[in-house]
Amino acid sequence: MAIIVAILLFAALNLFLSAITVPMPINDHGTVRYNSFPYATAGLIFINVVVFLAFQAPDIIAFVTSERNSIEEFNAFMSYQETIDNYGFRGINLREGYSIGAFTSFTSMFMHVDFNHLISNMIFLWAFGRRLEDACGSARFVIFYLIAGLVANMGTAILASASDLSSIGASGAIFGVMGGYLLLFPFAWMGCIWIPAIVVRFALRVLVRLIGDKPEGNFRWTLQIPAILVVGLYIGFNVLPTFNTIQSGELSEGINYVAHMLGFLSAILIFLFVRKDLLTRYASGRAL
Amino acid sequence: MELMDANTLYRDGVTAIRQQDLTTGRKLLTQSLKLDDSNENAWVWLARTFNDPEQQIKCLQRALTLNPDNARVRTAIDNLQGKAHDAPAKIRRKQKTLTADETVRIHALMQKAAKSAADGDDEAALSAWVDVLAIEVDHPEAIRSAVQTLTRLKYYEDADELLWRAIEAGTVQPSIYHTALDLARKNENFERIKAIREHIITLPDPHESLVIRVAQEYMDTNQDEAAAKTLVHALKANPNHQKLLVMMGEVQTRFGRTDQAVIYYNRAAKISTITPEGKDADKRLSAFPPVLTDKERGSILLASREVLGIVFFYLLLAWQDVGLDLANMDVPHIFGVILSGIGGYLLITATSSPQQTPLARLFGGVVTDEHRAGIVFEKNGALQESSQLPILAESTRLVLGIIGAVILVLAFALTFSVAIDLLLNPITPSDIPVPGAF
Repeated sequence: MAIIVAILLFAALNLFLSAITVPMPINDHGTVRYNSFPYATAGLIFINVVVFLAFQAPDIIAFVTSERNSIEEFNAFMSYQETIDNYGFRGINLREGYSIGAFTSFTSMFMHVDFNHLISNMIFLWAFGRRLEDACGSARFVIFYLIAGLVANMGTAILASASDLSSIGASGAIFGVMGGYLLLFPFAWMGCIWIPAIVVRFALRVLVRLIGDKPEGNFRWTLQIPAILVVGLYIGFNVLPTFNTIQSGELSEGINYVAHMLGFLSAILIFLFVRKDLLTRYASGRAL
Repeated sequence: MELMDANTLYRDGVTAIRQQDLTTGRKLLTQSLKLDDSNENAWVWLARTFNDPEQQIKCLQRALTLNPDNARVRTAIDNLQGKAHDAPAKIRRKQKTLTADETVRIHALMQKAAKSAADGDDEAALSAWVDVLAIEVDHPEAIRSAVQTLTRLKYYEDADELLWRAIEAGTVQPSIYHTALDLARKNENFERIKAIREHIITLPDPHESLVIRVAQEYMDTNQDEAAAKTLVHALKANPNHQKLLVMMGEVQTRFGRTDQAVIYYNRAAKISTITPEGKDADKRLSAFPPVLTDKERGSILLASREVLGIVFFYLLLAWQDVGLDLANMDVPHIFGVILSGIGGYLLITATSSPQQTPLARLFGGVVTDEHRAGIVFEKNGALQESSQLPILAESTRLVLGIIGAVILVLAFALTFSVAIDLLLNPITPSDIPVPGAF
């Protein structure tokens, strides 16, 4: 138990530190018009967490807790790799009919490398998914999510065909969700954690207190940034590596940028899934 | 103004009325009664110059106070009171067509008034303007000048009378109503304000500025029922007036009828979101679920769009299943994709598009009482306006939904046949590369 808590704390710290460089969206402040509970978003997060905890976390924990260079550590590593190879996405699985074939397109979407990977993806899914699900309805949102993931995987297999690495993670689908969100609600305010802003805000409050005044309102940890800037920032980080990957045909840096970009581009399909009335509103230039 | 005594004015007035010149008759009798308001018969004759039962009653009541034993007047009042009570919001506009002589005379009088006003002879100018108004009761320049002069001279009641006379005659000039309301407010004549407001909503096509003002004044004083009545009347004449629609939405919100409010805001926003009123309506709508219209519910195109999404999904499945080589796609995979379109369409029809035109009618759909009655909430939370579109029966939808779902499962089995086979008999690759995360 202590090990799990330690791992989770480490993952949280890692995420917190990653928010030093770029703002991390954790929430959106748009109107949820249908006031529906985001069953699909919550369900997808639940499945991702369950799949990770049931099939991957035991190997990771065994690996971390085993004595270094021991047989237990090796076995844990092998088991972890085997899971990824069998259920992660690889072009060869489709082309040669290995493992469970095209089913890996789905299974890979619900697998993650480690806790940090899982938590960061789920935060993004929660931040962008709820309102998009509200705009589509749960069933259509799930199909859109799966299509974005499929496009991301297939694109990787086609554009990075020289690579034989297994790809796992929900981020291809999540980039699709982010893209859909960007198309429908470009100027919605996202609540983001960004360490420099928190530090400056905190320092200013201290300064106000030092000069004997009382700061207005409660301290807020999040910074409100328009979706177009947040998503634009993350897409910007992916553009160059994507071209590098396409040029070399190999996945690089352990991150599948091609999947991110293709998932994002698949967002154009959101118009096939958004509610009829919202589509009409969108087409007539009205606010969603 | 010619100097005449009350009796002469009375006689001339009666003569004019007998000649069907009610406007002149009213003018002469009013002048006569100003000089001598104890002429019982003058009040009775004056009553005949009005069409509005309420005005007639007021005149007759004055006559009755002078002679409480006048049984004919009493009976007439009783009859009129019944009439006034049942009086519909009738059209009272009686625009008089001017004859050539009248036009010439008005021109001459206006010149005379202008000269007198320039010479500082207010009385002569007023006399000329009043003469003009006797011919054309709402002559814009004459009434404006006369009211301005009378107001300047602090003859508020006379100014009010001129305006009210024009209103009574059914003028459609909004400035006259606005001035009359302003003057009545200035004089704190609340009865007059009420009468003007009530008169406005009897106009067949009241000017928007008047309706907006009256409705806003009602809303400002929390008379929401009266505001709603005013707006409903105006919207009948101008159903696409954005400002009126937004105001109606606001009134409905005050009543707590948010579903109705959404309908009005939605109509306003649909007309245009470029105008300030459209933007306002669109902004207000963000607090409510959107309205699903008959056009959207009945559209096969919008339903087909959702089917296209499902077909695309199955196409991706088939594409992967054939090893990412579209050219290698065999008949079962192609058939699976086609089947997905059929199954998807049936499922969409059963769930989100059960009112497609004319499909719903062809499948025996009917217009339900629930839909016809008014606003209802759909299962997914979208509001609907009352609908005249037939909707498929629940049992039909259930059958179509089940058939659609079965076809989709079958299509999945065909488009993912290789993967399903591998799932049942997995082949593990021998090499174990390093994972790449995304």
